[in-house]
Amino acid sequence: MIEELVKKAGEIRKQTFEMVMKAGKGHLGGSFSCTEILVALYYGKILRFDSSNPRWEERDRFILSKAHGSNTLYVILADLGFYLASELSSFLDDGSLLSGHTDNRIPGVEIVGGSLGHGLGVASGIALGAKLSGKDYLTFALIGDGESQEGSIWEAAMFASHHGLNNLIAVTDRNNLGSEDYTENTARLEPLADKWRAFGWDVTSIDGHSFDEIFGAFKDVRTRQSSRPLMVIARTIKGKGISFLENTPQSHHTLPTGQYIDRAREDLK
Amino acid sequence: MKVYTDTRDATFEELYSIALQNPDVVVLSADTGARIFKEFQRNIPKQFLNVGVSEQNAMSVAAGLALTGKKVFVFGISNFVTLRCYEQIKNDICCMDLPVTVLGMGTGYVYSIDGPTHHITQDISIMRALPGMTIWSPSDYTMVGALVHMAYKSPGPKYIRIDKGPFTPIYDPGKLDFSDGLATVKSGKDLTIVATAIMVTQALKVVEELAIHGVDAGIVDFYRLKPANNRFFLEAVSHSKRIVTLEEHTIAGGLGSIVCEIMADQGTTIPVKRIGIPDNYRLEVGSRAWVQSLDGLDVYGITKTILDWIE
Repeated sequence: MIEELVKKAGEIRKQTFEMVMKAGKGHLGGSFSCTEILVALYYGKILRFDSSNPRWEERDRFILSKAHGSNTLYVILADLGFYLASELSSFLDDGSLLSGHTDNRIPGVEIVGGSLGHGLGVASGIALGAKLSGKDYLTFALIGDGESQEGSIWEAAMFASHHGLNNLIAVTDRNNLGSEDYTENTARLEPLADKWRAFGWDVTSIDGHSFDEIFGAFKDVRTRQSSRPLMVIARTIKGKGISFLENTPQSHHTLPTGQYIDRAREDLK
Repeated sequence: MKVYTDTRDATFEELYSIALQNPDVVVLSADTGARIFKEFQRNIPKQFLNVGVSEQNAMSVAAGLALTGKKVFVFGISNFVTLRCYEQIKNDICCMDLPVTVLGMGTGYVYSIDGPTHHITQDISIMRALPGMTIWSPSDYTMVGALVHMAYKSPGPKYIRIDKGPFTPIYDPGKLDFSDGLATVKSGKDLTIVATAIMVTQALKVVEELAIHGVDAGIVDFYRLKPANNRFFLEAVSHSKRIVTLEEHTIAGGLGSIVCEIMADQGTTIPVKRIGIPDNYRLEVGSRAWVQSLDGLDVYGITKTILDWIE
């Protein structure tokens, strides 16, 4: 299965790249750093969902808190049949279903996203609601590391551990970069894992591009005995897959031009 | 409904009665208290959470709970459950049209001695800029309790701005329907004072003063600020020679602005005088009545402003 997922991640990146290049705008860097995580969640039988019934009551809730990672998510949701693949060709066009950041009109998307620091709190509310209603679905939240400079993330962190939300699983896409600079140059996050532990979470750190390690982190999410929420810190590379964008601040929303477009396609082959 | 003499009791005793019957109700407090919260904790503990001093997270959690089918009430001091977490209210609650009611305690200069951080004098302006938000500004104890029931029954986001009073009771304790959005409290042939919240009580005293000076003033209680009931409002003031708007709130975007907007949009031309808080912060410390007087919102100041205007 791993081989298939590696191949799938490659295809998703290619489609994402072409979708973004057609639109002339997008967030390749932050979308490519979380591609393997999203592919593992959606194709690796981690998330429980029904693409023919996106509002299925028993589905797991996936909250893309770093909603600029939507570019990859849109391609995945189309590929899984949440909506027609033809929607991708209208990405960012007038009247398109698919905006730069997510909104819950889009089948498969749970919340209006885009403003950083909100998703973990909303996910905590959903996880609490599930417990209050006796539901066994899980709530997943993918947050950015730049986003983790928002104070509201840490309000949510305290809340989730205080209320024992062990049905909440968060992933930090630790690509080390915000929009303009490295997080450690702007408002230092390290020691990030220690911070989450100190806030009362179970924490595991993985290579966010290794399917083996991703599955290792998620293998027992439905059966784990801990009373704490789980944070998976995924070490990733912003712009992963396009050599000249990797680990660069400009990968956040700068798109290749001229000869670099062909170089990017070559890299993504 | 029982007769209340305290807005906090009216709010939360009624909310407790609703929550007892409806397990889908969840109340979040941003570390702000009410006597009956002990009963919530004792009898329906899953339906009440003090989330601590974290208003931003309170709104996001409220949105998450609402997404799972809960009807959520978030309680805190008005300044902190509006301005502090405005973006959470906008993005997490309003953009998804979720059934969350924000209960803001202590509007205007209620917390006069606590300084400008606790004065909330722009909540109407900012909250009405949120599409889909219903804003109630109750003017007596009965209305506060009734609006909690209306908030539970109605969809979408709501904000109830709760004054501590003391209010002069205006409405019959049996009245539960405040769907009109405004009410004529008193008719007057010379001018109409359009007031909201505690300023309706103030207006009752002002009309007595004006009467001494031979001015017959009416009062309209404008208690639902959004969506405004334009038709009822225009009917209520149609025979007025002049309109005075009265609010313990900045005149930038508050009740006075709402009234002027309605009349401008309808092509109604009645002279209007807006009385409210000028464009300033109050660092002065003192009783609410004293701080109000600095802005001309005491009975003497209001009366003088009106008399000066009509002369």
